[in-house]
Amino acid sequence: MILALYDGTQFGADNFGEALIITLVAMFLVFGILLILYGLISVLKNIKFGNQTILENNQVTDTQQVTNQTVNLDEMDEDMKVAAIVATMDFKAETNEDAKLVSIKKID
Amino acid sequence: MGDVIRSFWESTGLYGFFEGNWKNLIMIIISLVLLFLAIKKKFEPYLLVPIAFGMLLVNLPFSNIMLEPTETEAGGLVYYLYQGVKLGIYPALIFLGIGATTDFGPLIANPKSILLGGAAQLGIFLTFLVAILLPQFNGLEAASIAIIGGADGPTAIFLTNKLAPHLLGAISVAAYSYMALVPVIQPPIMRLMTTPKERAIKMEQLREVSKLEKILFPIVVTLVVLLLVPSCAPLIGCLMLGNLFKESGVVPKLTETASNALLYIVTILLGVSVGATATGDKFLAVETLLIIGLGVIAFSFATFSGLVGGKIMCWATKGKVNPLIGAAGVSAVPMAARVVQKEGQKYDKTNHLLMHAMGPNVAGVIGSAIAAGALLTFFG
Repeated sequence: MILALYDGTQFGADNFGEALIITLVAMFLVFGILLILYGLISVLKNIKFGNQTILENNQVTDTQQVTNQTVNLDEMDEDMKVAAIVATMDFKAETNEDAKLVSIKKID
Repeated sequence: MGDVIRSFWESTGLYGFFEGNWKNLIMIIISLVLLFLAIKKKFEPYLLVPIAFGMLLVNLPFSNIMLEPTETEAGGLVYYLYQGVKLGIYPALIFLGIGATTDFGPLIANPKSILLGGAAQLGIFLTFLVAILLPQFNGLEAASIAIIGGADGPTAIFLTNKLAPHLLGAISVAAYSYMALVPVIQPPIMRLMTTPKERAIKMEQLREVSKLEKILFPIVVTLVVLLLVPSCAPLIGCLMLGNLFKESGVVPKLTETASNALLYIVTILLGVSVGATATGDKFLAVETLLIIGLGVIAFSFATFSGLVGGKIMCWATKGKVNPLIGAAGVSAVPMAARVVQKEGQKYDKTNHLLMHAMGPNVAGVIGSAIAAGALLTFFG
């Protein structure tokens, strides 16, 4: 059960001073909570669980694994094909050079 | 024979119009305009079509679609559907679906962007102060109108239903209309607030986010937010539950249901029910015009304050943050982020701001739910 701090039906222009205080407290609350979340999210990346390592380490492993694999176009699923096409188009748009797709690295 | 024809005539809706229900006729015209905007102009069609149709149905004389039940007679169909709004069920279920479709990865990769989601909520509080000065509105109504600045339909419906249910029709129509008008309202403010050089800033590619971070995120947000502002539990709780479904990867069928079937079913029920609250008597009032005017203030100032936040972040990072992404802090996922991407590409075609803007965009959803919870704590 949440108790209201003010009777909203009787709250009007005469209570502008209180409205200002409510505004400041509510803004402080919103920013305060978001700041706490900012701090907590920032430390999330350092948390390791069991055998799981953070992604930077995984990427090295993935790259090593993938470089030894060859995936033919026919074996690719839809997502892989779309990712390859988008990446190639982005490269072409940024560099204005012809692109040749050599390999695709899958990152889980 | 004459009596039969007369009684048939008196049972028709046309007779109702001649008997003083002219306000309903105007509402029918408004609903047709909204249908035109939704279908022809594609303004938020998934919401405006059911809302406008609900509005059309309820304003047809003698349709009795929102009729309350009596001891001897059952109520109208939409009256029963509306109980999901009245009890606060639909907005929460919509948030469940949104959570199941939202990727918080860009926010986790760049956590400081969460502050931009907070900056854009200033529009809510400024509008609250303006609305409270108007003699037409009391504190409950001012808080409900202000939440339009959050640019988040379910949050606006949730709060209005708790504080000022008689304004539900006007506020929800205003909120969704302005959300649909994001591509029209935001770009001029963006250009006014930023220099061409700032708009062309390219941001570093976001780091990849691990699965563990994505799983922990909804749990952390739930614990922190609900321990501090329990009143937003229905919104934040459902948003994060949906996201946990998605990120855990162990309940794919629940994710699929929440993000598709459930989301769309509830959207239909919510839209029709909310539209059906906009009857001529309630909607055609000076207050509605004021709500629509205050909605523009709320939305514009939310964009403005988000951009100010973006500029501060740009300055603090020595030009590494494109201030345009601050405008995406107004929620309206993902349209506000798309507008940022489009605006950025006008100055550099190779500048891809979409993923950078998604961080503040999803943070805006959390921020507006917290703001609603704060207002509910004061007035609920």
